[in-house]
Amino acid sequence: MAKARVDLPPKGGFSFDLCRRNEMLTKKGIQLPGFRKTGTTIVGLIFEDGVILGADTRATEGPIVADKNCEKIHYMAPNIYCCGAGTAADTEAVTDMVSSQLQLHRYATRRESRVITALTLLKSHLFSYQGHVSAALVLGGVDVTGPHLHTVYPHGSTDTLPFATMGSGSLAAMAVFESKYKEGLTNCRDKCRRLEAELQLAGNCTSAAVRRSPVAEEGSREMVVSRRKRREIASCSSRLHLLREFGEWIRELAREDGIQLVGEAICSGIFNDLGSGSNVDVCVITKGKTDYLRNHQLPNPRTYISSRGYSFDRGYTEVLSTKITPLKLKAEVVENDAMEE
Amino acid sequence: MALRGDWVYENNGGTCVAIAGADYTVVAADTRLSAGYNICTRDFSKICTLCGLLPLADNCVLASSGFQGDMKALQNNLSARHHIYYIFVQIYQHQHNKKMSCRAMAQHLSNILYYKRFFPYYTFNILGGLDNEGKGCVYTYDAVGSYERVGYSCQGTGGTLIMPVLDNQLKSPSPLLLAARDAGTPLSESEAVDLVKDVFASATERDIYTGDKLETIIVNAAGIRQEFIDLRKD
Repeated sequence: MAKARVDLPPKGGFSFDLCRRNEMLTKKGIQLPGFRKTGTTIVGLIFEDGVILGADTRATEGPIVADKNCEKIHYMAPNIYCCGAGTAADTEAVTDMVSSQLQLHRYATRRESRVITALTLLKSHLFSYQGHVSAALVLGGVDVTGPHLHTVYPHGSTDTLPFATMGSGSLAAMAVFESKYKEGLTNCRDKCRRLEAELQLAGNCTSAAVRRSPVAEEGSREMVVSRRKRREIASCSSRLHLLREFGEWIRELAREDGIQLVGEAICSGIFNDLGSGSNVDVCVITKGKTDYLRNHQLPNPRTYISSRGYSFDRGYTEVLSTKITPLKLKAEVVENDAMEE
Repeated sequence: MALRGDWVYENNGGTCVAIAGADYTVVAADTRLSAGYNICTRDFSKICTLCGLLPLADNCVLASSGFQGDMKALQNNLSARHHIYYIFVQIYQHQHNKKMSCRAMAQHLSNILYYKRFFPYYTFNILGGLDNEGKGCVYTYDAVGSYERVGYSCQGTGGTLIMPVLDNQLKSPSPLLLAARDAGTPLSESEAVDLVKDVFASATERDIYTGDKLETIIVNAAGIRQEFIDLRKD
């Protein structure tokens, strides 16, 4: 029997050869093994300075909790993190893979990774697997172009959003976001704008003080300042410094507001969705700094601990028989005779 | 008529446990009612004290997990038949001075369940109470009425998580010795209640359908007492 075609080497990806066999087995009544899904609530939101990601920490296997405190916020790059929902193995594998690719890219380009790079790598991978890799991701990070937040669906489509939720608890979390998002964070933005205006004014003060210096009046570009002028500038700068500190505080407020809103959204998922539970993880990514707040909130302590405790005395489990098999066989070495022919 | 199998039913989740002691019975169930991944209510009692208006069986308590629509229907059915039985027993009582015992109630429930053998009540029941000698008794059922008197039992989504712990703590040291299975545990009432609470707290950690609140009912010679404790709400 001559072969009509040349056998091509496998190109990678999934091989669907056993699908027919599986179908036949299911018809005969054999259950296929299930996957562990994370049954999750994951969220992301963009605030003033960057991105805040949040996730719950429960991993379920059907109706049973497999892991009470798992990590769903995965590292992609120092400035990019990714939350994953769906099949646990898929989210882990895909984020690990893209994280490695990003690192290699960083070595090659000698630049900080961009969020859009991670996004393209993820979406092309997921699309090529036609949705069989069941990973629904919320990708967020801050790069040179600013803060970015994207959602990636198992089939490979993506969305770019100011706030996003995924997982079985996404509706519960989105309810919180939709009602509270703009309110909480715009106030701070307004405050910041006013502050920036004041800073501008203070800055003008300083430059005005400098301009009035006799040396500068000559039109020289150099800012040579006399001692008196220097004192004037110092008083302006101290005011600037105070304002800057206040600005920091306002910015802190925006950050705290954002973290609180994310915490609320995740808690909403935790208490209203059965697939999500346990604790809240938060990750705050800003320019140059990332804070991974593992177990930021622990709203579910164990409610009852028996004071009696449990004792397992010897004899609780009946020993039917004991057999000891020595593993090391004692070998006898016969001197010289064995090897000689 | 249900010709298309399972689609008429729904499992509303939850767990029930009962432990029989020397002179008491503890029956406990969580109060969460769920549908799919949602919680319908955090405050739903799965335990029915079969007293009603006429305290005929004042020492019997029924706990059911499974489809709560069928559970309600079963309870109504039981109490209706109760009343009918009471009317007959009125006559009977004059002559024999007897109330409906826990044993009789157990058989009664089994008959009601088997009556619907070909369109069953989707409920997994545990009947707890005091027998004629005042000792604790627990009867455990399947969906179509097969029942057995046991020393302890648990049903529901968290049942498989709790049963091994109860086997370990309540059974005699050697499971190979055929101890009378209907023997009550030698634990005191407070110890048994403590065990039940701890075991439910553990089941709540691992079963997503169990949680919110635990309702514990203790039946002893003094009557029926009810306790509530909080469980995890996630």
